[in-house]
Amino acid sequence: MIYAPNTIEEAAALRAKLADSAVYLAGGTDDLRLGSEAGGKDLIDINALCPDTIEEKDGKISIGSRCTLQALKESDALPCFLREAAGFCASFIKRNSATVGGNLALRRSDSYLAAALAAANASLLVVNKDGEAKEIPVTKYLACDCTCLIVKIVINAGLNGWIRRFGRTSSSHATLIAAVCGDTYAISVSGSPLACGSSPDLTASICFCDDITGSAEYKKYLAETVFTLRR
Amino acid sequence: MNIKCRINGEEIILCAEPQERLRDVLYRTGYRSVRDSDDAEGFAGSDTIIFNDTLKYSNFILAYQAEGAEIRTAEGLLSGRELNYVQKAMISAGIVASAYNAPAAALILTWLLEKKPNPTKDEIKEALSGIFIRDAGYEHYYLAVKLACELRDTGTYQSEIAPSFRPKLETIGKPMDKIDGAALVSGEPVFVEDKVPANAWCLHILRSPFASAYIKSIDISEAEKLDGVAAIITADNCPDVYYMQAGQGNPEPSPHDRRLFNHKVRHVGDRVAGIVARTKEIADKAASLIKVEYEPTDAVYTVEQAMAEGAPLVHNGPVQYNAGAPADLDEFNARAGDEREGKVVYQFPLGANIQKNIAASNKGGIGDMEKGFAEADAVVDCTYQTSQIQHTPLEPHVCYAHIENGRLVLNCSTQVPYHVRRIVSWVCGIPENKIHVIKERVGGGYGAKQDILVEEITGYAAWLTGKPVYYRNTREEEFIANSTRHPMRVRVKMGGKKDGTITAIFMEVCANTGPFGNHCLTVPMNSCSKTLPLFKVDNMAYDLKVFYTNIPPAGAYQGYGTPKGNYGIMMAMAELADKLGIDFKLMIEKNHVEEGYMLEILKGLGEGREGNVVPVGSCGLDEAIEKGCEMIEWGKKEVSSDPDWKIGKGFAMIMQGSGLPGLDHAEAIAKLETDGTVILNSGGADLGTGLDTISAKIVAEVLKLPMDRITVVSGDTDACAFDTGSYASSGTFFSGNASLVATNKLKEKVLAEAALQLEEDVADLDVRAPGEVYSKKTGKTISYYELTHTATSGGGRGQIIAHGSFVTAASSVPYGAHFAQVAVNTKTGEIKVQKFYALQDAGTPINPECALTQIYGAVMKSIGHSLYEGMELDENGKCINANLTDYGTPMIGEAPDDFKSVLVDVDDKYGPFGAKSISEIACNGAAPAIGIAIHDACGVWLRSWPMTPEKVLKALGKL
Repeated sequence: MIYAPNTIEEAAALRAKLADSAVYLAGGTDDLRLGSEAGGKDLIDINALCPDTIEEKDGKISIGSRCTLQALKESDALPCFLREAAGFCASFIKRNSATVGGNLALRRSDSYLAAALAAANASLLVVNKDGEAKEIPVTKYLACDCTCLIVKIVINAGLNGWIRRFGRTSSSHATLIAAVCGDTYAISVSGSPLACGSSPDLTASICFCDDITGSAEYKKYLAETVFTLRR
Repeated sequence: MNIKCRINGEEIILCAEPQERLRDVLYRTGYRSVRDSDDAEGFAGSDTIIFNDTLKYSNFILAYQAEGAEIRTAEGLLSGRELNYVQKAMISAGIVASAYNAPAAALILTWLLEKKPNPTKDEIKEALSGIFIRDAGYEHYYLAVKLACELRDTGTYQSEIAPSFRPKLETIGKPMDKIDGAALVSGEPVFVEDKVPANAWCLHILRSPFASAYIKSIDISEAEKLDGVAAIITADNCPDVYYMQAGQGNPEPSPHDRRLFNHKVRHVGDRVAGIVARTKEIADKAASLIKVEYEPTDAVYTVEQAMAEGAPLVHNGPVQYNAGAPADLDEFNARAGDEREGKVVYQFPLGANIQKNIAASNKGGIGDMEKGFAEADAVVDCTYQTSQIQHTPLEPHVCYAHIENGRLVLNCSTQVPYHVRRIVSWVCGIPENKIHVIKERVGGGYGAKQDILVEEITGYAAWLTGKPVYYRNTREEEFIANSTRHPMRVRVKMGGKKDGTITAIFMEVCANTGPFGNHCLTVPMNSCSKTLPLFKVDNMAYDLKVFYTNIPPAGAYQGYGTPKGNYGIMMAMAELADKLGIDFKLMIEKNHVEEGYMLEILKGLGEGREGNVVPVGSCGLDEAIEKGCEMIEWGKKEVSSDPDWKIGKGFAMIMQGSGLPGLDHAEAIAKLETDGTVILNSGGADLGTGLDTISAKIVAEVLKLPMDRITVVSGDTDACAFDTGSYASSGTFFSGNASLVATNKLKEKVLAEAALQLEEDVADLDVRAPGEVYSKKTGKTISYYELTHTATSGGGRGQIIAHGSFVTAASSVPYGAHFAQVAVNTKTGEIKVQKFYALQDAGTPINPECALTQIYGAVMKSIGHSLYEGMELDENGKCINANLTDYGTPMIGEAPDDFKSVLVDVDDKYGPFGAKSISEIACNGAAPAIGIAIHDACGVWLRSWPMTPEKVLKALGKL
């Protein structure tokens, strides 16, 4: 079943109502991919609802949640490390479909963008099941399992940062992505929740595990080492 | 629902369910260029379309989303039958090989050139970042873009496409478009899937969740009751025929150790039941209704586990020998286990002992090993481990079978049409004349399609039910239920003197064949037979054992065991050179063979029979080494501006074969048609490498005919004569030579007929362009048209036809050297291949541009195996990365920054016009070259592939 709600609020309410049986559909690169957790679920098409533009105003940059990773990568308005993060989705063709909101909503531990946006202290404009819009830090959103619909991602303009990805190949899932922006450090580690803080020593807050991308020991070593690398 | 959109400029109404993938709808509607290589993983890019002016994967678009869309597919690149400039350039650049997603690549590059008329290398790289090319590598894609721009701007090519060889010849050794290039790049319906009618029934395989278990019972009664189920085939009702799936000469050096379905499952993914149903949905439903009661048994996954005392046995039934049974066979069989084990039938002894999990073994050598090691100033004794690798062809294994006029017809994607026919004949119990195998274009083989992995069950299903039956592997099944590269443990003990002379080499190979013995002797034999003969060392020995285990099956893979053996032996030599404190190049120069050296070591390395001791023939090894060392500036230490990155260089010698002398066999039939054109029926199986083009060039060269007056029909068991198939680098050498024999005979007959018609002496006649016979004595001429017209008109002597058969004991061995420069980050373990130079002696490269792209493709695979790829099994034997993303498939992002292939010019005595094989050998160099370079960079020896950052860090003591 495919739902085509008329408003963002309607979409968010529908998603909450069908919590276990439906997902939002935007770019489709996860919902429709092989082995997706969305397999067999109903789809709530939000393509006509959420914005897909990048706008700068009053020292803030708003990224529409339906903005594609390719648009992110190409945007001169965005800081380089965030554009670089968008490029961690190595396939240009996939980047043409995959959306910023989709990548965050998946809450994957190997998210292309999570570390960069967390380091950038990004906030998300989301709409909840009651139709209420609110702004929450990206880290808070990633740590919860709410069904809110992401409408926009907001960061400060003029940020400078640095990011590094480790993975078996350019196209495989990342082992670890680390980003720093100002005094904020963030690390996405495959199989673990995002870690973020004001110190580069984040390993204590991460529970490392073995998986296809590498051993827990290897990941821990990278987490300890990454911020000592030359930038 | 009806979806109104514009496709390739036309208003189209698509009929589809809203939730159908647009890819499926487009393909079904006739846009055959929109293919699927990854079951919607979003990786391979075969499903790429232009959607509202943006490149997208059509698997990620639902049908309803196409309403009002502007869609472009590769079909829209054509003007009538005329290719666009990008498609033409792609063919000319030699990148339209197996070409399953070549139309998608053409669409991507066309889009790129529309947006950026003169793109940079980085822009091309970005555009191609979402498409997986396994056959030709990526390097000539840059060339194709350059050529396309030249063609667009000037109407002709300005750049050199590839070097030319043999100036006195017209077609041989010259870059000329591959004859099937236009059909492939335009998206013509040339693959098996394109031949399947809408009413075909679906074959679905229910697979084992256990690595080892007896099937206690299987209840299919409820599933059989479903409307639309034609048959359910299980171990209880399948033919009681033992066979093996390896496509090899008959009798095969592989045990017949399986039936279509067995009472014991031996790997996760093993066949349990085959369901023939009207639709996939019905088949899925039927599968869910089948009740299977398993009795799990202990499993083994590694050679160490398999060889352990008291290890669970993968096969423990009685053993039979069709020849050479040992005297104690009855005693051996008295110890056989449960009858559900089935039996194992050897065609002749292979040194097996299934009661110790040994599927095959062999040992031998020359000289005195003890003396050799005693003479050494230093000895290294190291073990190298390789992982389980999947071929990942873009087109998965696929087969369509139906009954026509009482015969079983199979449309196959295979390297071995005649072996398919034979094995289907055995399984179905019908003679070969009742079976017609048609090899369609092959969307990637690399050895995977040398094995008969789906054709026997599909053929049997059609023969049993009378239904047209279609089977296609999912991408997951490609990993878990197919052939893979054997994991191997290669121990090399090597001794040498201070001056660099190697005094002795011992190789101990333990190979893991998985649950069945496909190629179980030949693959590990190659790890010795294609490495030890590189050395002029008096004392050399080998001892190899192949173990049954419960991992997904192993089988043929481009290079067979050579990449693994060469990884071990070259790394060991580098370790020995390091220990002796001498330059690796010096050691290579001191010990490698040269033309005329008698290869005594080959006597025991004959793949189940005595091998031929022959001298080294034409050999471009010296030139490859010298030139490669110059190119990479061997001996010059590179230093990175970032102190964390250390740079190192390495290289490796390589060799392979050109088919199997004394075993392989090829035939061709050349016919002069009634208008003076030629149709050549070749038994050879072109799997995208350009074999048909080679045959056409041979005809053109011998008969002085333009290429467009020659057609090659190949791989069709009704139309063509026997050929053992395309494997073991036999295509050019065997099938090409058969074409040459047939064409030379045709020429003789043409001249004989012309002598009669012109009333001249045959000795005074010859042929010349554009296809005529002339008299050197009188100047009289007769065109092929006139000649054949007279011969086939009423009172003539009949159509001029010649048959060529080629067998040989001669061996044409290709040689080469591969060089790598890598950068290793000593803080993070990351490895970057900065430079890779592949220099190879291919004899006369008949299609030079295709030769180069075959090298690039094979090297990319080999870089993948060396650094990224590897199947991972969990503790229960289940593959946990059975998809292209997690498996570590290399894409354009993994290609070396500076990548060059060089063809070393050597004329061979035995190959057609001096040609040797080209692509398999190119798999053999990357692992040792990179491994040696890593050591040069940071001082650690990585003795297992894939050589990952984690292993670097461990070796550096940081983990």
